Amino acid sequence: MTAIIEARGLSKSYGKTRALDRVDFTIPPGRIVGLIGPNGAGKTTALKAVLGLTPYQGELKVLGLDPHRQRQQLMQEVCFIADTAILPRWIKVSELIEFTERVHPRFSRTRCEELLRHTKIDPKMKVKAMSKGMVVQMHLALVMAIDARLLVLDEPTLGLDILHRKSFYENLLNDYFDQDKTIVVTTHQVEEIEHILSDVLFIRDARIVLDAPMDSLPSRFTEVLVNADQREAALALRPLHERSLFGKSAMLFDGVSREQLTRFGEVRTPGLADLFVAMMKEGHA
Amino acid sequence: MNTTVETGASHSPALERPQPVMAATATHRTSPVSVFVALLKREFWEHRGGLWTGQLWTTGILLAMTLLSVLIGEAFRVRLGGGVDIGGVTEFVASQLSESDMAEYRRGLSIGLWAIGLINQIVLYFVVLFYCINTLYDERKDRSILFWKSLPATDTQTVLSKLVTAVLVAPVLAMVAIAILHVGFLLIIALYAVIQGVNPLPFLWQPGVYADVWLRMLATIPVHMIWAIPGIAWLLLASSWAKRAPFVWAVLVPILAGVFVGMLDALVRLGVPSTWFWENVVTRIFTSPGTMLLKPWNWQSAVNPFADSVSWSHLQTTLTAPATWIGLVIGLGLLAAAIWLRRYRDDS
Repeated sequence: MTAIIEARGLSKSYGKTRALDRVDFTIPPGRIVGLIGPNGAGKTTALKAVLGLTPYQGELKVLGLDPHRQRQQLMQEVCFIADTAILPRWIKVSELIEFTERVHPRFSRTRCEELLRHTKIDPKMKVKAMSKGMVVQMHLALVMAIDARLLVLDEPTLGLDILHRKSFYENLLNDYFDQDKTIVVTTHQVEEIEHILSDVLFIRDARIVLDAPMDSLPSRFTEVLVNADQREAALALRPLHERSLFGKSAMLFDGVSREQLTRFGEVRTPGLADLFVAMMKEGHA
Repeated sequence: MNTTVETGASHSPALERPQPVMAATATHRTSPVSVFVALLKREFWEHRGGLWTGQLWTTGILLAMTLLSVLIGEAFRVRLGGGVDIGGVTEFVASQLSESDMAEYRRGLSIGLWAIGLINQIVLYFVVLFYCINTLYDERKDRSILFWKSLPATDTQTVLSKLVTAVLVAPVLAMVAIAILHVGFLLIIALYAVIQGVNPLPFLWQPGVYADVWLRMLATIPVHMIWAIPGIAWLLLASSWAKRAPFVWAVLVPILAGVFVGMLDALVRLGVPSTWFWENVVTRIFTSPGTMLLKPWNWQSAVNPFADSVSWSHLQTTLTAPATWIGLVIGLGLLAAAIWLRRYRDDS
């Protein structure tokens, strides 16, 4: 199968600041990829380039198309939700559905109405009368009714309470995602999407610092709770990151075997959030 | 693992297999025309208040005022003890009216019909002016542009739909409201005549006048459209360009340019005097919204200023003037710039 997104040497500058610096990555079909990084690391810029919303240098193919030049063609197969506040506030639900149906060849009105039936959203309702959670439900229903090959989500659950965040991802997984679809998602709530991701891309200071399938992480990364007297010996193995925990020091290792590490203390697989913190602080400490 | 999944969700394999078929049936055809119609509807939904409801309100208020003045007039007449016998007088006059008197009456009727629609035209002017200045700016300000751009409608289609809304949809809706106003106005007058015991038919049955007024009202729309595209395109470009305060860009830039040209003219005597710039650039921009009726210079030495400003010969002059077509070409350039900005600028 050909890649859904293929970036080679993707770069983008805003004036003197580099938002993306010769970034390479490939996203195959049927994956759920988390694009994770601190504010200003280049996540949104990367997504904008993928969606053809911004010019860039380097090579980028999305579904085999040049996103900047072939934007309209691309938008027939790509959907995106950029945070919660981009649905026009004046529009009515029925108008939103009619417009999308007329403009998008892959939109199914029946499917959208079926999805909305499970919510409190009424066809006569205006977006400005909805709560934040309802706006996201509305947008999700629109997007899920479009048979697209790539769905891009940029902080889709920003400002939502935990119940809505959970149900957002549950709906996405249960009623939308399948082998032929690919989802790219950026978010700050790393813990909440950890279990649904198939791959992870960490981006820091305009560069990709980690590009790995989720199931490869346990064999690669290990966290050890090192006793104080072992600290020097453990440091010799060059941990990615060290933090103090209950008077001991928790060290995160990349590519050091577990057998080697168990002698320093208790060993566990780090969560994505731990990994994120470690990789974002690495070199900064 | 496989078996547990299958027992856990026995419906999922059944759902998965027909998926490609479902996907194929889910797609339906869209054409550039259907997309454009959707975009026009979108503009109407968003600006229904200004484009249509506001016009209807204007019509309604004007009719209510007409009715009120008729009633007040009637009340005064009755208080005078019915001493003024309007009915009798009118009947007498009607029987005595010569052809030239009737021609005079028709001219009066025509002026009346043009004049009474003026308020709707002024409402149209301001609605279209502010619509053009804000439309491409607001979608960036409230970030809804990201939603519109997530759907397969091109920037060209979108900007053109806004142009068509300004130069075609808005004037046509205003004309419909004015036609309703005309009909209502004539009905009130007829009702009054009937109350007075006068047969209103000879006065009301003036198909020639109505056909003339309505046909010309309709004809002004396409002619004005060709003339107004550069001005409207400038307003749209300012809206697409401005990072804030699009009104200032749209209004101040042409005026300051006019002042600058004026100063230059005073200093070095330009080949083309600055009055030319004010007339052909600044005034043209600011008389582009609305319709042809609102061009004061058309009114000079006009007998019926409204009708004369949209006389057939005037429409013809507008269509044959090189300035109209040169302006149109420049307008298309401005429009292309507005589209380009919406397409390629990234400032979110």
